[in-house]
Amino acid sequence: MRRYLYCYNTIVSFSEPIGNHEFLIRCLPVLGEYMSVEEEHLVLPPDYWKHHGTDTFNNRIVYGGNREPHSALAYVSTGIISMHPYRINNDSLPFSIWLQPTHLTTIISSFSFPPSLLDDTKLAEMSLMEKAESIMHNVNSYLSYVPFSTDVETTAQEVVESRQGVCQDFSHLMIAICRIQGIPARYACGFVEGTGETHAWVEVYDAHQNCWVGFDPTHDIRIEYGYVKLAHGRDAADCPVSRGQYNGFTNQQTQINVILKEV
Amino acid sequence: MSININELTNSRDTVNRWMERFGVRFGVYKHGVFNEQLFPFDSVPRIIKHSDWEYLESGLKQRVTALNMFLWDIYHDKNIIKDGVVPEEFVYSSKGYMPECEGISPQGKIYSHISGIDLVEGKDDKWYVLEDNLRIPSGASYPMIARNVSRKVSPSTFASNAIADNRDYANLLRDMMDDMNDNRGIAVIYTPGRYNSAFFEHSYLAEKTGATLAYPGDLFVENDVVYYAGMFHEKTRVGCIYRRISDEYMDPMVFESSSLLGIPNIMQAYKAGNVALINGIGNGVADDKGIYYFVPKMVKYYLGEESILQNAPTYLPYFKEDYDYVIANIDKLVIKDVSEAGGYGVVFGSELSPEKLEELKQLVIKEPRRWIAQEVVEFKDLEIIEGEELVWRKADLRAFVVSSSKDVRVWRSGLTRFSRNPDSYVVNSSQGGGFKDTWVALED
Repeated sequence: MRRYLYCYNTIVSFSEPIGNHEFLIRCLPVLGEYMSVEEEHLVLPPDYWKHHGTDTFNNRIVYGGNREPHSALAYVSTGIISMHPYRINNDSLPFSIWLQPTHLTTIISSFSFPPSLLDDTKLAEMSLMEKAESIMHNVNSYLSYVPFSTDVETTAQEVVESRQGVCQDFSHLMIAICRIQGIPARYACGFVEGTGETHAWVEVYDAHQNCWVGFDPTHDIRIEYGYVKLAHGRDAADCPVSRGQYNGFTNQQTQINVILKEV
Repeated sequence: MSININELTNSRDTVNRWMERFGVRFGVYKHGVFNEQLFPFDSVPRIIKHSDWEYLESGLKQRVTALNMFLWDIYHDKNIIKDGVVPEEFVYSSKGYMPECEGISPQGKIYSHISGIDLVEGKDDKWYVLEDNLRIPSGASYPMIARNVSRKVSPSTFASNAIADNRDYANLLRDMMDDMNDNRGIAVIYTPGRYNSAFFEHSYLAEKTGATLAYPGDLFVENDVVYYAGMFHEKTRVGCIYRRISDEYMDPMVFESSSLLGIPNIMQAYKAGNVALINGIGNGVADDKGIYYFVPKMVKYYLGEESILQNAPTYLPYFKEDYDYVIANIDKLVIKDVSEAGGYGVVFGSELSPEKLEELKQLVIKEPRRWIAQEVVEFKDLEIIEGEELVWRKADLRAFVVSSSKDVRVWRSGLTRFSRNPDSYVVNSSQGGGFKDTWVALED
């Protein structure tokens, strides 16, 4: 077991006051899997109504709103968690949904994969976890990491053609290929050490050990420690750290800061 | 029963003029341009015999009851999948299945409060269900207003013929909405606005039910409770929402994030049980064209009864036996793409050139799960007036079934749509068809 201190803060400021603002955020570590909380604090502005809950994937959510005109939303989520190796046993949802392609993880059936990315005959002899690991290696060498080359709407199909992206795209491509191979896979996001921003990775279901295990295709590693998960889902659209909507004609500026440190 | 409709049929143009004046229209988007069209009314009513109606009514109640039980099961225990009656692929790959609804328990276990079941009467005198529309079935307002106008234009027709009054649809809706509302607040009909194809219907039903017509921006959520923001910024609590926008636009916090039509955080209020959504979110999984095949099996599974209504003979290429039959007989069958709606994804094998047919066959071979195939049902044609003469055209019937926690009721009328093209089986209003009033005879 290891202990980590995390601190996440976001400041969204608006150049002109906005109204009718509603938000939904996922900024609390997922519990009941491989992490438990020693201490946690969430600071939200007092002028919003807010509730805690969970979404359908059992991610913890905080949602609320403020209809009156205001110029900023700021929140801080911080705490200390103890972490076990990255193995997750429980899942309340039907298994099949982790095999279905989604909009962001579909690769058209006529696409011909270069063997360096997907080689069916090579995979055929491998165990499930070897397959996942091999897919991860291939995705990692097939794509180049290019900041700002894609956006939140970029699909696995676009990435497989452009051969570049960020952690979200690496994860989507790996998930897409796993699902084509009949391996249940899901998208995860949260914090890792030293990046200063949120990160995305992949969970793959290991049917032999009956648990989900973590793969980080951006860094080409199997995950053991050091990944604080905020959410998982079918793809990135299921687990945005924050979503919001407001009325107003304004420039929005968002500052995000992440600290994760083993203690 | 003898029925005399001469005076009514002679006044077709008058009825159409009145409806035009009332703004009875539907909108069509084509190539990005919005156009409103009149929905041509044919004054020769479809008359359903009393005994036929009794049969249809009991069959429709049974079918919709089973569909609601299926939806509850899918989003809770999933027994029908565990027992191998419906293969899970058909459920979880359906676009209508929404994992976000897992474990949410709508009041009264109702997911489809208003169901539009499309039927045809075959030349063999049997009725067949062509599809179930559970998401946002539209069209009830057209026969409502047509009857209203017809009664004014030709009162004697309705004085002398013993047919069921269909102007009670608003009461059926209102009773159901009151039951769902449970005295929590006001009832609203939530429209995306006047550029929606069915805006006439939204406003007409609001007027007739006495519900408030709400537009995007009128409703908001605070502390898991939904409110209507009035003109003077007062807050009025909302207890039930008859929403006329699709699931994916309902809550930008959970579904399509770019939706400006939705009510942010409505899903949290719905989950908390503080508002009823009519119809329930996620019910499209039961009106999926692939699930349709299994509806008679659901009736048997949940109710222990044989299905009263029959499906058109349907094949799922997903099953080996059906696959072989479909590939061998593709030129005789109707092939439907389960991933599309609105009548655009329906192909008649007999109408295709050999090349196109081969292309379609290859598509079926490639993705068997994506298609269903049906025998062409020889519909009984109905008379319509074309110019000065009577001609026979294909027609279907959309029956409306209203379900609350107390009961399931079938509206004693329905929308009869006909194709104006003599060779076409496609009766969708978006493809240029017209409609008739549907009379249910009170005696045989």
